[in-house]
Amino acid sequence: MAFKTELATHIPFLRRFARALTGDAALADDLVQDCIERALRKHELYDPERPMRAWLYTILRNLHISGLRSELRRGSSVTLDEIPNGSDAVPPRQEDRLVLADVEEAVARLPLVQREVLLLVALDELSYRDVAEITGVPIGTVMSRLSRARSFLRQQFDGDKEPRLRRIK
Amino acid sequence: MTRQRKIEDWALGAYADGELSGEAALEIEALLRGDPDAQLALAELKRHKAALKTAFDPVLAEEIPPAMKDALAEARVSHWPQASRRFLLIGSLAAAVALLVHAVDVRELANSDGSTIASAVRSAHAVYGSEIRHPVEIAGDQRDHLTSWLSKRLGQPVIAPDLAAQGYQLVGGRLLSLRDKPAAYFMYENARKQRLSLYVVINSEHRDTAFRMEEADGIMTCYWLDGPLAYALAGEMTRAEMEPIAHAVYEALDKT
Repeated sequence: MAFKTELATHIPFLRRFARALTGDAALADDLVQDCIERALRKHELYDPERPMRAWLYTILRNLHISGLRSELRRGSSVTLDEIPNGSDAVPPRQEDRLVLADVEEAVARLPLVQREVLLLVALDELSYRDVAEITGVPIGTVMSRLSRARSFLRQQFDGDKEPRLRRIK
Repeated sequence: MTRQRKIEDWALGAYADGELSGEAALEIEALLRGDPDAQLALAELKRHKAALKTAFDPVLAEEIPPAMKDALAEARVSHWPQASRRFLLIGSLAAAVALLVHAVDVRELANSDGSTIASAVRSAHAVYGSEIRHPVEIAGDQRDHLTSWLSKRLGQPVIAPDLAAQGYQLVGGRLLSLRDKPAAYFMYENARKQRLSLYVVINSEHRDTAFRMEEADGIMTCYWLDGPLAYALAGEMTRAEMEPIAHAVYEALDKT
C-alpha cells in the first residue's frame, strides 16, 4: 500500500487516541493535523518493517508532550511527571455510576503517563511491547503505569474504595 | 483495603490484555477458578476496558476533517522508503552557520567502510559505559556547566538532550578526541542501569545526511550528520529500541 493510502487508514484511530488523550475535540484534531503533516514531511524516517500505527502514535504523543511542555515553561525542560493531569479542568462528580461522562472524566484525571498507556492498551489493544516503544519506557514501566491507572479507575467507579480525589473548588 | 488474592493486579491485567503466553495464561486460569474475588476483579477490569471503548469509539465513525484530507492530498510523497535502504534521509534543517577550519572530515564520518564516528562512539561506550566509579568527568547535575564547557571546546553550541521521556537520565559527560579534534561525550542511564552514549563532533561539510544504524560487538549505533555537527548514539539494545531514542535526540536538537 502506498504511504499516503496507509496513513489515511490510521487517521480515525489517531483521532480517537488524541481525543481520549486531550479530552478536547478541537485540540485533538489540531494534534492529529500536526501529526499527519509531520509524518508526511518526515516520511522517509518511517521504517516500513514496523507498524505504521505505532510510528504515528509516537509522533502524536511526542507532539502532545512538547506542546504541553512549551505551554508550561517556555525554553526550559520539564519532565513528564511534572506535567499536571487534567483534574483542574474537570471537577469530580457526586455520583459514582459508570456513565460515559464519568469515564471521560476519570481518564482526564489520570496523570498523562498513565493515561496514554491505558488508552493504547485498552482502546487500541496494542501489545505492551508496542506501548513501551511508543512511550519510550521499559515494559516494566508500562505495566506499573497501567496497573496504577486501573486501580485509579477502580477507585473512581467503586463507592467503597480508597479516599476520593481531593475536591477542587 | 487491598484484596486478599493470590493473583497480582498486574498479572490479571496482563491476562486480560492477552499478554500472557500459553503456560502463564493456564496458570492464571487455574488460580482464577478457586478465587471468586479475582473473578470479580477480572470482570471489573474487562468492564472498564469496554467502557473506555464505548466512550471513545464513536470518534472512529466521524467524518475526517477536510484539513486532514487536504494535507494528505497536497503532500508529495514520492515513494516508500526502501526496507533495504540503510540511509534514511533527514528533512530540511536550518542552514548551517560557521565553517570550522580544523575539523574531522565528514566524508570519513559518513564513509560506509570507515564509519569513524560509529566506531568512536562504540569504543567510548564500551570503555565508559561499563565504568562504575568514574563514568564521566562532569556529572549530569551540572548540565549547564557541562554543555557550556563542551560547546566552547567544540566551537559550536552543543546540548545534552532531555531523554526523560525515553526513560534516560543524564549521567554526565566528558571531553574526548576524534582524530586530534575535540569530541563531546554524554552518558545517559535508565532505571535498569542500562547506559546510552551520545557522541558529538564537528561536521565540517555542513551536509545533512542520514540516520544510519549498525550493530557490532553487541552494541547498536546510530549516527547522522546535521548542520554543523555530527552525532552518534550507542547502547546495548535492539534496532527497534534505538530508533525512538534516535528520533527523540534528533527532535530535541532540531528544536534548538
